[in-house]
Amino acid sequence: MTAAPPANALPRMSLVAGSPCATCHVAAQGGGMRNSIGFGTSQHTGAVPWSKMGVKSFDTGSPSFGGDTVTVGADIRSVLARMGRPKGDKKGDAELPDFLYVPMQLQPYVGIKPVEWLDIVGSYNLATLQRAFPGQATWEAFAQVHGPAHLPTVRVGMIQPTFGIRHDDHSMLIRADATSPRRPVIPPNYAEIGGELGYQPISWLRVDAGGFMVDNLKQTAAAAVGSSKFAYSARVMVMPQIIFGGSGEGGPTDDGFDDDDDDDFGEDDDEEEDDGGSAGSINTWLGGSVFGAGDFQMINAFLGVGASNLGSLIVEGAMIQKGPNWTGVNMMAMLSVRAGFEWLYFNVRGEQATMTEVNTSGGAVTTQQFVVGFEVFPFAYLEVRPEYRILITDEYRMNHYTLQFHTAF
Amino acid sequence: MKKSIARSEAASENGAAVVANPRTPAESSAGHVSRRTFLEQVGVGGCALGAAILVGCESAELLTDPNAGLTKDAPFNLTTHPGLKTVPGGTATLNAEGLKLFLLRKDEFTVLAYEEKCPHQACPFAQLGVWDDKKKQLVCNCHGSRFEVDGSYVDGSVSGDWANATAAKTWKVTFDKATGEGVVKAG
Repeated sequence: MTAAPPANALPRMSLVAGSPCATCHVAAQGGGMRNSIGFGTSQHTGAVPWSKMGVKSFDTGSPSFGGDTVTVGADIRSVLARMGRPKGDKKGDAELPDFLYVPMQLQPYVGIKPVEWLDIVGSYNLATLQRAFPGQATWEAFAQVHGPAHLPTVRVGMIQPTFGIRHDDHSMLIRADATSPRRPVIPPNYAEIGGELGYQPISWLRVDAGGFMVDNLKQTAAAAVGSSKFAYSARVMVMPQIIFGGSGEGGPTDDGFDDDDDDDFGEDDDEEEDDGGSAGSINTWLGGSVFGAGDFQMINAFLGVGASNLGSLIVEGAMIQKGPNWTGVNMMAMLSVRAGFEWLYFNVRGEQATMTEVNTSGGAVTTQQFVVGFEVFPFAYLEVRPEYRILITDEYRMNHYTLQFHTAF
Repeated sequence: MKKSIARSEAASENGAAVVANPRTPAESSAGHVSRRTFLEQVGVGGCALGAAILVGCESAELLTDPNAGLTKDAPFNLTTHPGLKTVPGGTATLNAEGLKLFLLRKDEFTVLAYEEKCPHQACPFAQLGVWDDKKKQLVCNCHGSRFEVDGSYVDGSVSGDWANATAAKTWKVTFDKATGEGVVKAG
């Protein structure tokens, strides 16, 4: 990794930057508390620096004290969206539900690093005091032991098992139950008490495996989990990368225009913008995972492709076995494109969740969602995400917009 | 470079402001915007315009008739719906005329039929509906909505911003304990 990776903590950023999630996050799987690199990334991404608004300390501060001994951070997310179902007394046009402002995450983190090879992190999501999904953990805490890069990492505590891709948009259907779109099978901030081993012997191969309790999984899949007391998870991921260098033709700073082109706008001014690196890369992921307990099992497969300063494409599929009577298949494809600036990305996503009650004549229940929107980082630490969504269930269709806010440091 | 100089001279002839060095960041001179700046401005402007258009395009549509009923009786029995053998509290789903019904064994002699989706937030009773035998109420474990035997919503069973539950639709059911056969009546 050269300069600070662009923008904020999202799976697609790992693809665009060519850095694993652990580059910016304390937890090797990504998500949650950021390390100094992650904080620095958040600090230096934004259309308008804080120093231009007279708050220079926001541009230069550090979340760590005593060297790196104690680090603090937080994720604060909220959404303005139409919550609920359309209302009507006949088939056809219906009334949209009202807008509701929902705090989704108000989660401070504290991390302690007593020695170089040990991280201890704790956090509590205050937003769950008001509203929480079934199975959503209100707190997370873990101790992570990490030696030299050629040795495994061990994480123990209240943690999210590593399976599939840990997205940050909790309205995605990849972990949803199509029969109940607002009640996901695996809720946001899902976590269980357990332990996990992570091993990345070479830069392009990572393996994670763990064992967990099932207290929160039973909130959403009690019948399937049954009397089982433990859950297992395993994920294998290969991340081949093609690196190309220079700022000339074919390099990442080449915008594809020939400087000798005779056009109406004069020559390119390559001095105008520095893309922050002389080399670029095509970054890929290919992986699969399994997570299960008792008669519950979730198998994920995913593929990601990203290019420096351009964007990424992520495709993921999940097969869910929720006991002997329910089988689900969920799919998602998401394209993110840098819209001219590091602080502005355009996203489009299509997804579908189906759930079938086996051995009945009812057929599958299907929910589809299409989302178009932007990620805008107006200032450091702040992300605003306006989106237009089309949600289609077996019973209704809703075309509506949402606005998410995310403060992260 | 030669072509750029030629354009600058032409602009000068027209009386327009001339940029002495076309490669400087000063781009505001007429007719001299870099490709990158133009694309960035188009990108942001296009995004803003698209957003403005989409904001005005909210709508909703019900794809099914909320008043749909059964035009004829729908039969069931304990062989085809073995979940109803559990007394009390056994459950099963019955598909009839495109409707999905939630059957609930209230006691030895009685089977209840509700619409399968909870009227609160459409959570599926098939997965989340349970019978509270003490209070003789159907409970939706999604958010706690409670319904009486006749489908009426128990006030206050769900609170908060989404507390918009209404009564659950029900159908009359005849059930013969001896034969294990029943019929959901049309309606």
